[in-house]
Amino acid sequence: MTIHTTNRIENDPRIWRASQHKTADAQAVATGFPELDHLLAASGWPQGTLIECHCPASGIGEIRLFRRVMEVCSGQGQSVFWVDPPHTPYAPGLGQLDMGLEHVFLIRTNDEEDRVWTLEQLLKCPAAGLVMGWSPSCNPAHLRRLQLAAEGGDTMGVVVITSGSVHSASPAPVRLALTPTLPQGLRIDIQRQRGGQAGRLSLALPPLLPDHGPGSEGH
Amino acid sequence: MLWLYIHFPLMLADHYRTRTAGAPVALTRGTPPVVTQACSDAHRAGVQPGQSLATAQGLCPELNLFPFRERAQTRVLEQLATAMYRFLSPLTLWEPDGLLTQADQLGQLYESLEALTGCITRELRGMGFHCRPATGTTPRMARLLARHSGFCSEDGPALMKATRALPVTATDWPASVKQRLNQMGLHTLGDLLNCCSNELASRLGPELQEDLQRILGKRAEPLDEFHPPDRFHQYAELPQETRSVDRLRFPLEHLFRALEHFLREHQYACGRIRVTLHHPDRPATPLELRTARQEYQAEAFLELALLHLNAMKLEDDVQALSIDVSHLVSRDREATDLFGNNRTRNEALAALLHRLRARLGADSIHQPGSRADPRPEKALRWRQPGASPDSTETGPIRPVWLQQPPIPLREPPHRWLNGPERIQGGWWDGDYVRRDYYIAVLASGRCAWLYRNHQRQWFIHGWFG
Repeated sequence: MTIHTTNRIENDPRIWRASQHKTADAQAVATGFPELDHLLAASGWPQGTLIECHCPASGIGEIRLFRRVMEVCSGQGQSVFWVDPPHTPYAPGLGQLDMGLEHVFLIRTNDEEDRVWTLEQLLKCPAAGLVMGWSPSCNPAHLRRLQLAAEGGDTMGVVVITSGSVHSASPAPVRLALTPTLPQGLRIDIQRQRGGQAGRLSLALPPLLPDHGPGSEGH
Repeated sequence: MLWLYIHFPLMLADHYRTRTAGAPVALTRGTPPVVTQACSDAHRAGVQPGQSLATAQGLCPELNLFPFRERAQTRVLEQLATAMYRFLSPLTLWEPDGLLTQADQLGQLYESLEALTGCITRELRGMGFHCRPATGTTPRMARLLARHSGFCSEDGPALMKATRALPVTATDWPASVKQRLNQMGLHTLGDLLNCCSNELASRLGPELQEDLQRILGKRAEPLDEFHPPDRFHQYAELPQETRSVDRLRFPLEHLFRALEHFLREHQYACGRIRVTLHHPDRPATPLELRTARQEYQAEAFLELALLHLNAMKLEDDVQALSIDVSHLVSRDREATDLFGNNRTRNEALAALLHRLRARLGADSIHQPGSRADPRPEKALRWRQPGASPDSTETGPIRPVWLQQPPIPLREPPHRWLNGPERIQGGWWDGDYVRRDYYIAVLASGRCAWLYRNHQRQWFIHGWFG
């Protein structure tokens, strides 16, 4: 009986299954998207890790993707840092997220060297919960420094790379590429992750408006 | 009660000696200048107080001459008292060149009086100072014995005997009084004490009588207890003028180590340090360091100072450095409480922001805030970190990113999500705005906040990230 055998094998505690391999010691924060949590090895965005996120344009849902982490951090009294974002963070919009604006810091740096230094300082500090930095390109040596800092400070770092080659060798434990899909979706390519496999997922972003009225077409 | 007095016979000469790297030193005073004090080496070469400068330099060609200054003497005495405060407390300064302390209180800490005086002498010798300790049952007795020859004993009668044997010339009395006493055949203090006190007072004045009573302990001696100064100042000349921050690192570290030593010894901490960069022919550059919390460790100060120096770009050579700390707090106040978790996090955050600001500039860090203004670009307000946040009322949905300045919309949107929302206002300050806002997904997949102005032109004013 095949089914019977499979059941027996499945119940055998000596069996190790690749799907069970999660980084057990890594703390993670749920992403807010169950299907994405399922794909991530740590069942969420891993703590103490640098996430390299290739995002070709802003406004495709990159903040909504990390919204839950920001809300969790601010709920725990940890700070959220944004370093050199491409646009001006808009307080009335941020205020509509479920987080205290007193925990959000915006930092502007002068050049690449200052930016890496700033990110490193932030990631090293346990008071920082989430550190997001925007950079036009990625230098593997810089990412390595940032990864070590995030490990040391047990903070979460997201480096949003707005252009540059996706396929360059990178030391970041988690590497994502985001592509918008019409009308309101986001395709997430997990190109690599520590302790897990690469994967691809199309995510339907939650609607912006609670009562999603019929779009008024024809303007 | 047993008092211990430490006399510094060559105090100022010894002090200058430490600055001349061991070359003989003499102090000069008066017009024409004569030698008033000579260090032990100069003395060995034959230099004596009272000699003219020509004689002194003839006897000892490598002699360094310094003018005698009373202010310098006071400063050196204070410096010695500060250094000895570790060993001796309560401590009293006795101008011009002595320190007084209570030997019986210190006696509990040392095996014997010899151990105590030996420890003090060794410490002072290490600093390059000669000293002569003596004890007495009164402060004035200890002082007389120390200034004369030095005599240490815990035995009251022995001390009294030594005091009685002191010549009248060992006292501070005016020369005319001493001469008169000698002419009267009273050569030692013992001779004087054998005389009728009323008779002495009427012949030599009440001051002498009072002084004798203080020596014997029949009259109280007012004493001011010394406390180390509540400020720190140190100046360091650089071996070579420089404008490289790397070369300033070592002297700065040295200064901060001295500060750490000072703070540690006094159980102090400080949060504000004034560093001054002295230039050869330009006014000095002040630099104010503020630590996020009360600090005492040299590393923290050094890191902050280097960040500031790297950010400010030195324009002129630096000749010397000095640091001043005037606001000190005692360290036990910063003890962590039982629920210290949150507090240490706040401290770590404050320290982090200070570090960032030191390198990136004072206005590199902001926190978003909003203002009640219907015009979207005016509703944004930046706060300095730490300012109290404003309450945000929930209104119509707003984007996370503001596109500043708005850019024209070039393509028709893929899909409209919301709109129009009429926003108008600003008639009160001449910046009138009337726009209809829409939310739409563009063909590129980006979710934009659009508006149409009253000239029917379309702009992108924000992005929903």
